[in-house]
Amino acid sequence: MIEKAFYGDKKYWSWLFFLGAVILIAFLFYMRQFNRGLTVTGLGRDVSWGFYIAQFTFLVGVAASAVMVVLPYYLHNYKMFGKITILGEFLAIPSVLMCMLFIFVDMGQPFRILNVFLHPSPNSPMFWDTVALGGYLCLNILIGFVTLGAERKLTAPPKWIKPFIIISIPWAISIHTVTAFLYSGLVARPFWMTAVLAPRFLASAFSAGPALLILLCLLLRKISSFDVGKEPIQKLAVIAIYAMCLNVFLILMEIFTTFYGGMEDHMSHFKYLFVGLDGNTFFVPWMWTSSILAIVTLILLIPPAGRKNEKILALGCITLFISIWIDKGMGMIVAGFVPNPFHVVARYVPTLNELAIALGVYAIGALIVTLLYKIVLSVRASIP
Amino acid sequence: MSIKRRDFIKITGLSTLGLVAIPASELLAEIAKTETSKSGKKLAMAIDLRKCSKEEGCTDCIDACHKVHNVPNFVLPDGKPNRKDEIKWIWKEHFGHAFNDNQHEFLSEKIQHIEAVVLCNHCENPPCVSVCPTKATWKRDEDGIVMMDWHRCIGCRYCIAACPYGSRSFNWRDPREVLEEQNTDFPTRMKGVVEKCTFCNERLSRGLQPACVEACKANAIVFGDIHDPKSDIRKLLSNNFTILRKPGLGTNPAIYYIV
Amino acid sequence: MYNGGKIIIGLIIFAFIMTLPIWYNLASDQDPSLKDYVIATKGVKGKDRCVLPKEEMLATHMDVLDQWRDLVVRDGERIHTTPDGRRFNRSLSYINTEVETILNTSYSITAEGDTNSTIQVKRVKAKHLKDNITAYSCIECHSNKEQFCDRCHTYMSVDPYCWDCHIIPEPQLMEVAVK
Repeated sequence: MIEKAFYGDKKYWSWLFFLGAVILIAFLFYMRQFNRGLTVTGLGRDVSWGFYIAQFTFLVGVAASAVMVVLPYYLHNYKMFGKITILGEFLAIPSVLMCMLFIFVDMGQPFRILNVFLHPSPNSPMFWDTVALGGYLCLNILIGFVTLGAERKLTAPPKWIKPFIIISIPWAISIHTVTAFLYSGLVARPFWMTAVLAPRFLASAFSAGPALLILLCLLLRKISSFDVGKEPIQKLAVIAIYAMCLNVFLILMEIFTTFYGGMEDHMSHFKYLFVGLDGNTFFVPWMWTSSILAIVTLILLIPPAGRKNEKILALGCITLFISIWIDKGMGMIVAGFVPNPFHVVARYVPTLNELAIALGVYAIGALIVTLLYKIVLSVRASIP
Repeated sequence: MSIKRRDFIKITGLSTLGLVAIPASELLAEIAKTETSKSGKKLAMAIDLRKCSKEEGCTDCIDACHKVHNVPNFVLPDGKPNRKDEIKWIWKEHFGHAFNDNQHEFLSEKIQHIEAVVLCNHCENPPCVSVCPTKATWKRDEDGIVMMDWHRCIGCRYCIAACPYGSRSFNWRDPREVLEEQNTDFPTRMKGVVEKCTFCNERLSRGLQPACVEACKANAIVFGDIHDPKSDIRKLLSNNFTILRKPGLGTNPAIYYIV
Repeated sequence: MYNGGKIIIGLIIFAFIMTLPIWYNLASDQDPSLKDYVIATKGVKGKDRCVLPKEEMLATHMDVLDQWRDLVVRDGERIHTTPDGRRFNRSLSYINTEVETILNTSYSITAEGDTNSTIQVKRVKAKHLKDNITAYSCIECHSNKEQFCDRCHTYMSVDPYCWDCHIIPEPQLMEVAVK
C-alpha cells in the first residue's frame, strides 16, 4: 500500500521536492537554535512559551477533530462519510506528528526526551499529554491503514478493529482536554485558569479541524479526480459552524466573567490582547482581525443559503480557520504570560529563526498529508 | 518460511508497543508508592525589609549568591542588562511588584520605595514540582527544600509557567559565554535547563549558612528550621508582623517578610 | 527475488556506510594501550587508591558516576565510604583557592580572623565532613582531564556532557587546596 506514494506525476514530485527544500532550510535554522540555544527565538525570561507551544496547542485541536467524521461514520453509521473518514484520520496523523515536533523544537534539552518515560510523573499533565498524543497517533495509524487495506481488498474491515475505533473517539476528546489541563490548572496564570478552557479548546478544534478538512476536500476535487461528494461537505460545514458558534459563545462567557467580576489579575491579560498594556500593542491588530473574521464567518456560514454555495463555503472556512489560528496559535499562549507575576509587561515577538523552524514543521506535516492522501487516492482509483 | 512485508511492519510495530510496557510498569510501581514519612524539619527564611532597606543599593546577598553558584550576568551590546536571557536566583523587586496584592495608592512613601529581596519561595505546595514531567524538580522530604536536578531537566519550562513568583530562570544560551571567574566548587549550568535557588543545600551539607545569609552585613536575613520552636526564625516570627507573597494561592511560601 | 543483484549491492553499500566509523578508527593509528595512563596526577599521600580497582573503574566508572549523581543530588548523600573505610567526596567539583579568595571579598567564610585564604579553604573542607577528615572529590586526585578522561574518551569516540556544567580542573589552581 505504502508503495503507492512513490508513483506520481511531475506536479506531485515537484510539490514533494518543494516541501523537502523548505524542510531542509528549516533544519538548518534548527541547527542554529540547537547550537546557540533558544536565545535565537523571541522567548525570554517572562514569556517562556510562545509560537511553538501555541502551534502545538492549535494542532492538537486539528488532530482531535478527526473525531467529527469518525463518530458519525462508525457510531451513527452515517454512510455519507464513508469517503471522508479516512481523510480525517489521515489528517490526524500528521497533526499529531507536528504537535510532537513542536514540543521537540521547544525543548531546551531535546535529547533527554526519554526522561519523560524513564521517570514517569503522573502528577504532571504533560506526562499524560505525551501518553495521550502517542496513543492517539498509534490508534489513527492502525485504524487508517487497516480500514484502507480492507477497502482495497473490497472487504469489510476486520471485526477486531472495531474496539480500537470506539476507543479512538473518547481518546480524541481526551487529547485536547489534557492539553487544556496543561494550562488551566496553573494558579500562576489567571488567564488560563478557567474551567471553560477545555470546552473552548474542543469547540475551536471541532470548527477549525472540519473547516480544514472541507478545504482539503475541495482542493482534492480540483487537483484530482477524487470527489467526496457534495453532501458530506455540507454536513461537515454544519458541524464546523455549530462548533464555531459554541466557541464564540464560550469566549463571550469568559469575557463576561472576567469583566463583570472585574478582577484586575484576570482583566489585564485581555487588555493586553485587545487594547494593549503599557504601550505594548503587538497583538492588538491580530486579535481584532481574529474577532472580525469570526463575525464574518458567522455571517457567511450560519445562513444555509450561504454555506450551500461552495465558493462562499470555502471563503467562510478560510476566515474561520484564520480566526481560530490567530486566537489559539498566537494570542492564547503568550497572553498567559503577559503581564508577568510581577505585573510587568514583557515584549514578545517571534523571531525569523523561530518562524522558519515552525514553517519547517508545517512543511513536514504537509509532506505527510500529501503522501497519505496520495495513498488513499491511489487505492481508491484502483478499486473498480 | 516467508514473512510478508506487511507482516514484518506489523511485528515491528507490536514490538515497539512492547517497549512501552516497561515504563508503564515503573509508573504503576510509582503510583503504588505511598508517601514517605516526614521528619518534620522545614527550612524557612525571614527577611527583615526594615534592616535590608537601610543601605540603599546594597546587593551583597545577590552578588554572593550569584558568585558561588556561577550565575551568569548577560549584558546587551549597549551595556544594558539583557532582560530576555536573564538568569537570577535572588534579586530585588519594587515592593509593589513583589507584593502586588498588598499594593495600593496610599501606601506609605517608605514602603513604596522598598526594594524587596525575592527568591524561590520553597513552597509547601510547590506548583512547579507537580507539573514537572521528569521529577527534575522535587521537594525534599527531610527539610522542605525545593530542589533541582540539572542532569535530568529536559528544558520544557513547564515549571516556569507554573511558578506564581517568577522565581525560575531558563538557560536560553550557554552561561559560560559570559562567566569569567567560576567557583570551581560548584558546577555551572548548560544551555537548555531551568535553574533557581536551592537554599544553598550544598553549603548546608557542610554546616554553613546560605550564602545570602552570610553575606548580609545588616543581618536582615534569618534562616532556620521553622518547625523548631526554639529556632531564631521562630522567635523572629513570633515577635514581628510578617507577610508572604501571594498567600491566597495556597502555595504556602517559606520566605517571610518583616515590613 | 527480482532485482536481486541491485538489492545485494545496495545492502553492501549500506553495511559499509553504517560501519564507516569502525573502518575510520581502524585506519587512524590511535594508541589504545593504557600502560602509561596517568591515574592520579597529584601525589596525594595515602590516597593513591580509588574507590574500586583500576580495571573495575575502567569498565564501570560511568555507572558509578551515574549512581553517585543521583545519590548526591536527589538523596543528599555526598560521602562515599569504601569497605576498607576510606572516604571520598562524590563530586566533580574542587576547591580552587584563587576563586575562594575572590568569593571571600564579597562575604567571609570564617569569622575567626583568618585572613589566609588557604587556611579558610581547609576549614571549609574540614567542615564539609563535620569530623575533620578530608574527603577528596574525583578530580582532586584525577586532576588532569586531558590525560585522565579525554585520552580514552577520544579513542572510544564518546563525548559525555559532564564538563558542560562541571568545571574542567586546572591542576595549577588545585595545588594549594590538595597539599
